[in-house]
Amino acid sequence: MYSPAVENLITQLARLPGIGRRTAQRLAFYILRSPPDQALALADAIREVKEKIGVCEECFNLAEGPLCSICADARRDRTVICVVEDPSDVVAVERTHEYHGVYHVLGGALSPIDGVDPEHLRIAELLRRVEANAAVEVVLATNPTMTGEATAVYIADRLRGRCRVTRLASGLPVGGDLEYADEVTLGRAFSGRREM
Amino acid sequence: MRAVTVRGSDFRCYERVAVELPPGLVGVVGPNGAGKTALIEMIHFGCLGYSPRTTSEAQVVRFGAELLRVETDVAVSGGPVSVEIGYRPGEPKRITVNGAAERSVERLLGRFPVLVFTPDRLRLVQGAPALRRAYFDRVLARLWPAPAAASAEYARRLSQRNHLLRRVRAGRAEPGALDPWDRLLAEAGEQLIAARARLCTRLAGPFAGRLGALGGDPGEDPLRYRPNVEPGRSLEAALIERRGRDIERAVTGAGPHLDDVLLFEHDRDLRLYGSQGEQRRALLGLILAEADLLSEERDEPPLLLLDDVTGELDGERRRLLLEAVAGFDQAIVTTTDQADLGGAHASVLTVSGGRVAA
Repeated sequence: MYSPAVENLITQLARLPGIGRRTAQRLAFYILRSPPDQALALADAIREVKEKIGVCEECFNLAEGPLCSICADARRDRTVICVVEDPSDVVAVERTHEYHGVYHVLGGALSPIDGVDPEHLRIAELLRRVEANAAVEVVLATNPTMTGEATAVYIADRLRGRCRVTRLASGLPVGGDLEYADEVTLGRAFSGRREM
Repeated sequence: MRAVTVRGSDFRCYERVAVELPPGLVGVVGPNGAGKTALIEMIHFGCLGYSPRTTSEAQVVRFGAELLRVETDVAVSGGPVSVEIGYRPGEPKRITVNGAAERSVERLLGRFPVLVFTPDRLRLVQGAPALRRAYFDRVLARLWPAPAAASAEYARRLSQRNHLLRRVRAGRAEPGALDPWDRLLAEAGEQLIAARARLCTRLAGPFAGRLGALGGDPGEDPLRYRPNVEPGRSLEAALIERRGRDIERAVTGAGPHLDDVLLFEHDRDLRLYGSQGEQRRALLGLILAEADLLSEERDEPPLLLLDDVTGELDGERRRLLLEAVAGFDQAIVTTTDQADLGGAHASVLTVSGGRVAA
């Protein structure tokens, strides 16, 4: 229907997460209509991130160079390692300004249905790092989903006896209304209640 | 709870119908094929958003029509509530409760205690354990939503573990990868076992009472929970012990997905040795026991919908049944013969050819 070049653009756009074929068509036509420098700026931006941004050799976070900005920062405490699923989770934890250790990005969570087994995640690398850094604590900050829990359990088992292993608490969102909390969240918050 | 009015369009045989439903015992009387069952189904659909009868729900839309609508006014202890449901096959249902959109059909189940007897539900007594597990988990969902969530979570974890077993058998994953899934499965499984055990304990008394009141002979323990792994035993230990066999068969061989609940009359398993009449009585007893438990837990006596419940019952048993349901706010009973309602004090709705008259 479209010329091969347009068709190719639509197909490439439709591979992006959250973009269906209809949206891909709309984006493609927008790009076709937009001035050349604007469209090429997008292409350059994509090329630039792919050329410049790699993964950190230490923690597998996104990095411009061999180490990410956190691993390169000498003030961070290397004996505390926070384990997350994806680089976007690092950003989320960093926003709290509460954490001064380093991170370890697994690159996903265990999910046999999707064919993700322990060797597909950077778990062996984590175990090596725990030894090398003489870590005193590993904070498991995988998502509170089934696959995130399974990943946390798997890692905790492997670290038992080597260092302190903690898991982020889960419960009610701050500023949220009890009335709107679902039963499971509220149930967890209940079992995790604390003395005041 | 009771239904006050129900208005429907293009539901089964009804092109357009509006029915006022009196309180107490209501007889829906008419010949075969007149639309008695469809009326019961419509009230159920109108309150809970799904049909109790069919699995292919598109069939509830009148033949030749594109969509249906049901508007129901109900009275619960908190006051009147109106539920409107629009349904076009292939699209999500549009549900509003007192004018506010409601996206989850499941929430209606928790909100409106409506219980239904239809002859199709006899499969619950006669059929495979999976049907009984599904039934009891649904009762759980209604009574105690938090522990009931364990059932869905357990199913998701079970599916992950079974996938992993297949991968391990094929040599594509290490057996050690099963560790976290054993733990997670056991955690949700033990919650589910505890919830089911609690439910069966709570239902046992009312069930025995109702069975007796319907002319049965419950004997000792007429409701018996048969967990695959006993409550209090470690499911994780059972899974670890079975690991070798599970990998060989690539399926999880221990856990609450293999539970059953058996119905007995005087030490006879009714699934295997019950007559049609006894199985029917057991199902009624179970539904009424559920009604008792719901009334007790929620302070809201449920609305009973009983389709063709008097068929196959002799005069005495019919009388006992009508006596048993008379205590509820509203019980709507279909029958082909008004005489089946006997001397019971009932309002009568006459159904014929897609019309309902008081």
